Amino acid sequence: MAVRHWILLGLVSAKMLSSQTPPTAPRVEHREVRHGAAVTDDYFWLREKSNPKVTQYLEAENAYTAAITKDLQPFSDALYKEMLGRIKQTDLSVPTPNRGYLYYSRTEEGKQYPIQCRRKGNMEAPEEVLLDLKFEEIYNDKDELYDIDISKSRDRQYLFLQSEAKDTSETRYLRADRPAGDFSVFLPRAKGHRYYLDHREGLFYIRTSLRLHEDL
Amino acid sequence: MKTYSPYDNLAKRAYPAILVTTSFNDSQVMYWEPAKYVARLRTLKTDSNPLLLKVKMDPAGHGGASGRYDRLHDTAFEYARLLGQVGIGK
Repeated sequence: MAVRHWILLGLVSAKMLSSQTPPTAPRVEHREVRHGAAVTDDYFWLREKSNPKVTQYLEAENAYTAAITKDLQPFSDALYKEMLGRIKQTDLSVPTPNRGYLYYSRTEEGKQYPIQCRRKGNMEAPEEVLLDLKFEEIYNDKDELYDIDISKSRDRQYLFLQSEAKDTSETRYLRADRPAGDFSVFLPRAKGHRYYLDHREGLFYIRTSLRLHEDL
Repeated sequence: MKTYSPYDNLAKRAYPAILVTTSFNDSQVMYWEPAKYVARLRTLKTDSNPLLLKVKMDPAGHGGASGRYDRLHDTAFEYARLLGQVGIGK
C-alpha cells in the first residue's frame, strides 16, 4: 500500500508541474509568398479547426491559464458580485412609439437574454411578447463564415433575413403580416455574389454585384 | 499592414504580463490569430512574466459570451487578473 501511495503522489505532482509549465505549440514549416514577399509561419497549421492537435494545444493553454489563475477566483467572484450589484437586473428600456404601439425590451432577474415586447397605445395596455431570445431560434446559418441579420423592406411589407460572408450573400424573405410563416430563399448563395433586396408596390428590387447584361 | 501586424512584429525582447482572450467560434477574428500570437511569443519573450491564453471553447462569438451574466463573469475575471498584476488582490 505504501508503494502504491508513492506512485499516486508521483503522478499527481508530475501533473501539477506540467500544468504550471507553459505549453509549447508544435512547429510545422510553412512557406508562402504574399504580395511578392516570402512569408514563413510555423504556426500556420493552427487554423486547422478540426485538427485534434489544435484543440489539444488550445486546451493545454486553457489548463495552464486555469492553473496560474486558480487563486484569482474569489477576487473575480467578488468583483462579479460588486458589478452585478450596480446593475438593475429587472429593467425596462425607454419605450419607443411606432405606428400606434410602444416598443421596448425588458430584462428579468436571473435571465441572460432580454425580452422584446410592445403595448398598444400606452404602457397600461396588455404586454405582447414579440421575441424571447431565450427560446427563439429563427434561423441558424450552419456555415460559420456567415453573419446573419434581420431587417424589413422599406415599404414594411416583407421581413428579410440576410446571411452574409466576405464576398457572398443570400436573402430570405417572409411577408411581415405573416411572421409565423417560413422564410423563402430569394436567390441561393453563389460564391462571389452579393445582393441586397428591397420591395415596393408588388415589386422586388435587387442590388447585385453581378453584371446582368454584357452591354452594361 | 506588415508594419503594424502584432504577430509579424513580435521580437526577441522582454514583454509585460499578458492575458490574451479569444473565442473558438468567433466568426470575425479567427481564434488562430491570438493562438498563433501566443505560441510564437512564447518562443521569443526574454522575460519571465506570465503570458496567458484563455480560449472560450463553449458557444461564444465576437463579443465573447452572449448571455449578460456570462459576459459579466468574463469581465470580472479580466479585471481581477489586471488588478492582481498591479498588486490589488481583493
